[in-house]
Amino acid sequence: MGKHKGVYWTLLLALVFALGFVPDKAQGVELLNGDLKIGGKLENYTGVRMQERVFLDGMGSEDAKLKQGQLERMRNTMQVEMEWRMSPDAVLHAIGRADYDAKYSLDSDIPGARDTDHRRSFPDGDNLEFNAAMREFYIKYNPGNFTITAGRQQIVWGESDNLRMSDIINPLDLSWSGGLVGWEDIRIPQWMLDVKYTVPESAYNLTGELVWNPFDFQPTRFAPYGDTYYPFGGITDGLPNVPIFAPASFVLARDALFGAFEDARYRGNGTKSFKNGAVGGRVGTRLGDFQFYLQDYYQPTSSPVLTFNPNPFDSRLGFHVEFPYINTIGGTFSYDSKFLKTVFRGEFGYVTDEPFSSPGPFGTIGLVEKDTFSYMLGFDHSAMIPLLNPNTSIFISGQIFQKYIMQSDETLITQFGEDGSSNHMSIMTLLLSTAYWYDKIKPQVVYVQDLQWMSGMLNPEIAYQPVFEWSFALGYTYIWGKTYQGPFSSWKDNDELYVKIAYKF
Amino acid sequence: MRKRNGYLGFAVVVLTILSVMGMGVRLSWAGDYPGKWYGFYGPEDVIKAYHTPNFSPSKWLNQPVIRSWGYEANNVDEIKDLLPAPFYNMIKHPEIWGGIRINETAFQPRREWGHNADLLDAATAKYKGTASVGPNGYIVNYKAGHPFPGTTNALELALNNNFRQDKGDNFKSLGGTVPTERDGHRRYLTQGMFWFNFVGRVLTHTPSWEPNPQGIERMQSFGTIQPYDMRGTTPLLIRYLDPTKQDDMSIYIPSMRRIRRLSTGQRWDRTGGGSDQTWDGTEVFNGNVTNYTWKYLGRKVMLCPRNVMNQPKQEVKGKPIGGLVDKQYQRVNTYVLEYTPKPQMLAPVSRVVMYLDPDTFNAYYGEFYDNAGRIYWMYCAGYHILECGLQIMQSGFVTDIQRVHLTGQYPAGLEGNETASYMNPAFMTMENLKAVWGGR
Repeated sequence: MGKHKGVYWTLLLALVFALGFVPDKAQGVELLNGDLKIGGKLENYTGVRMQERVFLDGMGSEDAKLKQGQLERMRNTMQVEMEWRMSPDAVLHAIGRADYDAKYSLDSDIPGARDTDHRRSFPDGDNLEFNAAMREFYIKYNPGNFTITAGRQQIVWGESDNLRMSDIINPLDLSWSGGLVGWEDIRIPQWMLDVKYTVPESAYNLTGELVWNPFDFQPTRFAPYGDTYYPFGGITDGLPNVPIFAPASFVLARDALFGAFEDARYRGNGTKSFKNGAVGGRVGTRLGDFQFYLQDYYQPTSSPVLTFNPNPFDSRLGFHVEFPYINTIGGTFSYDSKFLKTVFRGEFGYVTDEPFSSPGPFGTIGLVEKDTFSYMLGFDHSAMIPLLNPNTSIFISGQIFQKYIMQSDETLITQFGEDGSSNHMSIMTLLLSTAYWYDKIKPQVVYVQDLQWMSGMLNPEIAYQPVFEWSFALGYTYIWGKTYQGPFSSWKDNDELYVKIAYKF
Repeated sequence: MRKRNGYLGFAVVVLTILSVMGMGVRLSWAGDYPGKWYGFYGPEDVIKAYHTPNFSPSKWLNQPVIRSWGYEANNVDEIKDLLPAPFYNMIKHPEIWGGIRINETAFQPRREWGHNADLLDAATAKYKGTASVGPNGYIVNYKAGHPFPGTTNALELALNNNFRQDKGDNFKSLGGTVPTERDGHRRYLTQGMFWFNFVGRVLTHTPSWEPNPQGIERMQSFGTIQPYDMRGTTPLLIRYLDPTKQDDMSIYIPSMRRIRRLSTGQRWDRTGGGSDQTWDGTEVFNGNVTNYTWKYLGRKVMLCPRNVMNQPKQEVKGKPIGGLVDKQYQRVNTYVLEYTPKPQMLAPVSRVVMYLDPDTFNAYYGEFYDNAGRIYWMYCAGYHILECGLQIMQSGFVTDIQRVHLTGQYPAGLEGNETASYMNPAFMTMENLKAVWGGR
């Protein structure tokens, strides 16, 4: 970082000086008499590591290191959005995005700078250094009481913030953020058909929705080994800490495991098949002050499940990655308590046959399917606290989330609990935000705590938005945990001080 | 070296792109006549949106000015008693607020307004005596028109204001909200509004839309078109006929891609985007009548912006004033009404004084006093009489007097009544509104 500091500050100053060239009121482009609107954003997200993180090889020796003071990211994003109203009832939306993370070329010490393999998310192989794609491309058509959306899109269900119970339709790209950014930017859009119907003049606000993903399976994306958000803290460079592996077979086993993920990757991206489809639906209603939804979604699980059955004659040595089908039945509710001036919200999900890895005899790893139940209860409350903010309320939002594995046993690899085999997980979240100086200064704090494993995350951030088009944010992400097991502990030792600069048009 | 050059090059590209984008067009209306001190300084697409013509043209154009006071005109002290004191003080201090001029023009009698005014007045006469105030302090048996014509009862006047039906049966507006700093620095929001009345209808589905199984009084949706950050943000507000049922509000947030339910408990929160406007303080009063205590303060002749000239919009460069800079005012014998939040309302105001038109019950002025009794906000709404007989808000402002921060408001009546007949309960669903307002 030291020798590149001058370049970095030159870039930052260039963006700051650009303020003087840009009017504070540009509002995108409108063509075709206002029927075609083009807008977007340019964003730089730069973070510096505040801690050292060491990756060990299968023999316990230091294999890679992320040093304190190194760039955790220097992600530059250009996103362009187009909205074309083709007719009074039909609109075409397109969102394209290009990302370039300069840390790989600015800092040759990080593992990702070694070779391209360490710059590719897995299992799909997207390049973390540079990626450009048409993220979303869909038509939204509103005939009568129907809304039909067809194309590459995001569909979001549920009442929870940054939790996966109802918001399960699109998989997530956790490779560059671990999920610690707005999910709109990390959900992986898919080719789907979404049909909604609103019952006219219904006394109960009845609605129905059907979602069909005919072939576009996409797995969750994870950071590669040696990168900040590598999720498998207890696993080194592709090799589980299983003592049967002798040093001589280290490289062979590692390559076989990577190959198994490569095979699994092609399940979705390489071969779009009707065998990989998903389907679901939900109905909504209003009863008194309660809004309810009941839903069901049948899909291949997006997180990979590893199995291992030693076979020297198999090119993968018996490693296999699965994405079995699961069915999620769930529901949500929201209730506005006028007396407490608080919105209560909740959701639940019952998953049948959720897959888990389970160690078997002779070093094998099998696949076991269990039903799971999870729920969330949350609240949103705006409080006027004149001492803290005389002009604007403080928004307080909290959630408690629990997940249980039904009929679990100690051998199951659940990633819950201190030993990774607990049958339940409990997490609480708290968000506080407000605004000062006529919404120009927006401080926010997010706190997440794994109640069981006592790991968690704290993210204070303050944003300054002098005009609508420009925003500057300064924040710190603090992650803690006992070991590298657990929902947040995998990312411990990755504390980050960051700056975000965005121009939106 | 290669990397360094690469990054410098990137910086140059970024600068170039941003500079090109910076070559926008600024239009000004200054120069229409010698000595004109104001114009409109938004970007080109903002100017276009804010100057959208009303669906019905002006009834009275080119009104002859009887006399002027204020900036570069006669001493405003002559009309001190005809203006709210905070507004008078603003005019007296152009070095703080910018130059403001009051131009008196002739009063236009209600009977000359036109079709929609006649319909509303006919409904008022037809249903006079039908509505009453129920035991819960709210209206019962309301049909259409102004429910309590000729009253001086404070609560009944408040209900006249609530059911003033100034927007007709259905209404769509498009225009802007402009938060402005004391040095004149402005941020432009382009927003629109759909307004649908279930009750008090005079044109179609009279006097009320049936079926109305949820007992809805009216539905409002505000869409933000610009800036990019807020584009597609779609609040939907539902007010019920049962006063014990507080308003419902949900909002579609594009960055979350889902609808979130909001508590309407914080009625005195600002509406967002840096605006000085609050939910219950919109158009001086937009709350639930039963959450407040009402007091009638009598009649008073005031110079009110009852029929301002529609175009162009007005701002003063380098100063906060916008909306009503050089507009037309008529002498109106207003109803003066005061409301005080009840204990359950956590409000930063102790009382609000509003000045109502005796024909329409629109509020031209609102004086908001903080909990220490000092003037806090001043609301000035300029209205405009259309050929179709509706009187709609054309421009105005709400200002934080204490902090010298002002929010200019520039709604344009895009569609109303006959031209907005497509609006119905099915139109006012969140799914449909999301599609109409656009965004992701």
